[in-house]
Amino acid sequence: MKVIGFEHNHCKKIRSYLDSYLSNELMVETNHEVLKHLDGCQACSDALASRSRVKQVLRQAAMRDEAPAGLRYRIQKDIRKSAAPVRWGQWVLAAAAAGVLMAGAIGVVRFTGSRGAQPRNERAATAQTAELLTIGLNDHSFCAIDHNLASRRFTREEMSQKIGPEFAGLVDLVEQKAPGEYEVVVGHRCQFAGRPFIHLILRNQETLISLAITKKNGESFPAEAVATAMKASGVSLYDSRIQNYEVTGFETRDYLAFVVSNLPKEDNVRIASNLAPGVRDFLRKLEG
Amino acid sequence: MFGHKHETGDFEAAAMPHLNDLFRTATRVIGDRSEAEDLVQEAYLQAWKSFHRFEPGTNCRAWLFKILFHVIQHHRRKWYSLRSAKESDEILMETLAYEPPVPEHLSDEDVLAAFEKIPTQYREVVVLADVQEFSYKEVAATLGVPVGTVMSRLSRGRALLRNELGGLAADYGIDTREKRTGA
Repeated sequence: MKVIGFEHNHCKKIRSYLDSYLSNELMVETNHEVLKHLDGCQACSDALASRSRVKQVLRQAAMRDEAPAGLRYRIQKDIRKSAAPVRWGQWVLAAAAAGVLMAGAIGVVRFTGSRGAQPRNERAATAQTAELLTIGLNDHSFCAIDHNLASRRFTREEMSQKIGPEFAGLVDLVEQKAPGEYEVVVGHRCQFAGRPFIHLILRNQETLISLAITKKNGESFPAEAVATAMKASGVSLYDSRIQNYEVTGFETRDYLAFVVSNLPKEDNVRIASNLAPGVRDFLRKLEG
Repeated sequence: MFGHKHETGDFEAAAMPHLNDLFRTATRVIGDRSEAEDLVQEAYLQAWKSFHRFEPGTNCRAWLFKILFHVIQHHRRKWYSLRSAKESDEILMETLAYEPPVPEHLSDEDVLAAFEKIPTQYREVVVLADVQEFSYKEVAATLGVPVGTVMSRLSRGRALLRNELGGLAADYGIDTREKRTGA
């Protein structure tokens, strides 16, 4: 076994260079020496071809792997949750800047009274809207991201089975109304904090979107917020940026529905606008 | 907090495009997708925490890989004792120069399964050099080992993989005896 029948010592020497040759790490002179030898030595040429092929098939096989979409989200969530990396010098500057700004702000309030401030009822409505939208965000965050469900891919049959016959039609409806590059990968029933949801996850290569629907527990979007809500074919859409996620919600008599993603506001609202009329009609049929 | 959003955006723009490469590498080195996910997530968190030390304009990919391997080495020290390469070395002394025939048709699963049989210290060098196409110098910096070590581990790692695939050739009925004795 130890006897390797190289025709002469030069082959042995050249073979010791082949790995570095393959990695393009040889000095120019050595490279020439290898090339010259390969020209006249079939055995060494075959050895190089074999090594080159192994390298190529390994790279090809390994490159097929892609990071699950849920991982990207968990990382982004981590980053945004953790404190900013603050340098001491920066901190001092920031504190000083904050002091100046606060002093300025007090001045503005004194000079302008409450003209610039949001009226109390509007403030309350905004807070109440955000609180309601957080219901949808929690399901997205808990189910699609923390439990990495977004990395799964259910078949239509699995989705129909998990979601139940009542809601099975929702999958096709959402697939039709969502932007072309998105695909419904998960449709199931889940729970967050004891609250049941019908949950669909849409995915493209980079982004996850949840459509989470839950029965009302006496909640409703506040009447004061209706005036500021956007409209999509007669459906009022309520939107808020919460913990770096964009949440757009709408309601029917018995249901709350949420479209959640980390897309910019205009994109999330646009997708919600496309989905809302069809989903509303679907839910209304269930309400009878 | 001033500049936090700006820095978050900077970090994501610089670091997130390398996620697939880091995940692939961790998966091949660790051999378990779920563990690899956790380690990559931890590497990103550490990278974010030390992002203020990263110099814009320098190689972010290489910097992230260095952090990833630091996390992997820490994880390994915690959970496993590094498999001794001694046994493999002895076998390698005999097989290094032998070039077994590689089957013509190999599935990705065949190749990855063969790769997984190689001891980790060779696997990590091969994946960095051959899959991620880092230079010897960059691999050395990523793993904190001398360039000479990278060269010998790469050579041995590749030989082991050839050997494993050569085993497949035998399984597929390709006769390897003639080449073994007659080269």
